[in-house]
Amino acid sequence: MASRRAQPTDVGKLYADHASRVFRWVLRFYPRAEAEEVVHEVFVKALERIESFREDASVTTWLYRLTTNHCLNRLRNANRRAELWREHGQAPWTVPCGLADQDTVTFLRQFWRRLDDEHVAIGLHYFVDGMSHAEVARVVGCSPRTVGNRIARLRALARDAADHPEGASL
Amino acid sequence: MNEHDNVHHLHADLFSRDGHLTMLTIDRFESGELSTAGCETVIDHVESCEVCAHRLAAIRTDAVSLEPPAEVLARAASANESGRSWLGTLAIAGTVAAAAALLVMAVPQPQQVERNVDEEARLTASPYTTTAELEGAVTFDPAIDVSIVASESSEAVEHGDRVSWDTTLTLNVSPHEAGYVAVVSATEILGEELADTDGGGADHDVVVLMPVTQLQARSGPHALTLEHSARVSAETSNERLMAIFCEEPFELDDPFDPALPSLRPDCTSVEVTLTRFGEVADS
Repeated sequence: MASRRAQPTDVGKLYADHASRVFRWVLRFYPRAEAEEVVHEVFVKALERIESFREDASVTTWLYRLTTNHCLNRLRNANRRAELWREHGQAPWTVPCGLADQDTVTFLRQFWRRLDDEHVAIGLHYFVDGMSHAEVARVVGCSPRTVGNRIARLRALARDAADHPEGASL
Repeated sequence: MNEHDNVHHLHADLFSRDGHLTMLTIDRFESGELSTAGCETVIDHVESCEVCAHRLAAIRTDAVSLEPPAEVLARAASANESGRSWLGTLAIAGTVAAAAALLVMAVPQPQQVERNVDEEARLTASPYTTTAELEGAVTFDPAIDVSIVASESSEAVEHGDRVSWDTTLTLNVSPHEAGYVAVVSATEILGEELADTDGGGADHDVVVLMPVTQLQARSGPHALTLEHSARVSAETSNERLMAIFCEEPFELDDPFDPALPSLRPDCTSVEVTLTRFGEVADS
């Protein structure tokens, strides 16, 4: 099957197919009023990194990874972080759901700014989304073994943070 | 373990740890990106799970309509001018599920590979490890990741999936640790005269797809195009793909016996079998 050149109108199809779910993913990080702007940023990022798509099996998984990474990077901007802190008082994406490990979610909420992006993403997908090791591995782009190691590390840090709240970081 | 448990086991990646579908699974289902078996699992689960049915309904009712702004359109135009076929690539992935009706080749579940008593005994006695770790059916953690994807779309081919003959497949291998990797294809050759000559069953056409190669940890995926796998032939049957990993250098047997390869104890391998379906007209 020969690849075809993209046409600008295809952007409309991409938005029609995926923008709504990207918007929903972004809402986990940002308030509704700001989400649409972030969605457009994600699609710009997708354009910039389209060459990496061929390494992935699923458009949805690829966009999900892009969205998560973009939102996390955006949150790490110092000004944006301070603004978010004033608005929410916590990182909104760590709002615990029913299946989350509460101790680790508490740890993520308190210390996510000190963790590297890989630990944050893995912690988010595993503890908040409830994904399996294999699914987290597919989304993040590492091996299930690495996911297991990172989760064990997060649990250890969470336990340490309970005893030394100011001392836990990677 | 009942039938429902088996479904959960085979499609464990689709479910969160609380037994519900993950949100990403629901999104992939809505995008038409799941395999036929995956879609059936989702549909069966949603019919009996109010939580997931509610989540699926909420996704559909809460959908928003967004239009690309001028900046995004400009970026897309720029990508076109540079020759990158980005949205063309994305569109292909969406058509894979629709083409599923044409399938004539499949990656079966590893536990469904049938062997006679003698073969099973020999495999059990050998250091050769037969397993497969494909999406949805993780068995244990081998030293190497192996997956099959459709070359054009990069869509994963999972257990039970069928693809058409004109779909070129790619075998991706990626070791978890530094070591040495080789990949061998063994295609069973049909025909009574061949099967009767050695008294031990069918002969095989053995092809070394990747000679023993030193690879770094988590390098890859190293993609091997399986053009021969999609070649129509009345004389060939199932094809076994074996990715062998050893911590230290090793040599492949010559000739290589796919039924009983001699591997050292520090070596493991992952095996995937491609099963051919349908009749092939003699030419």
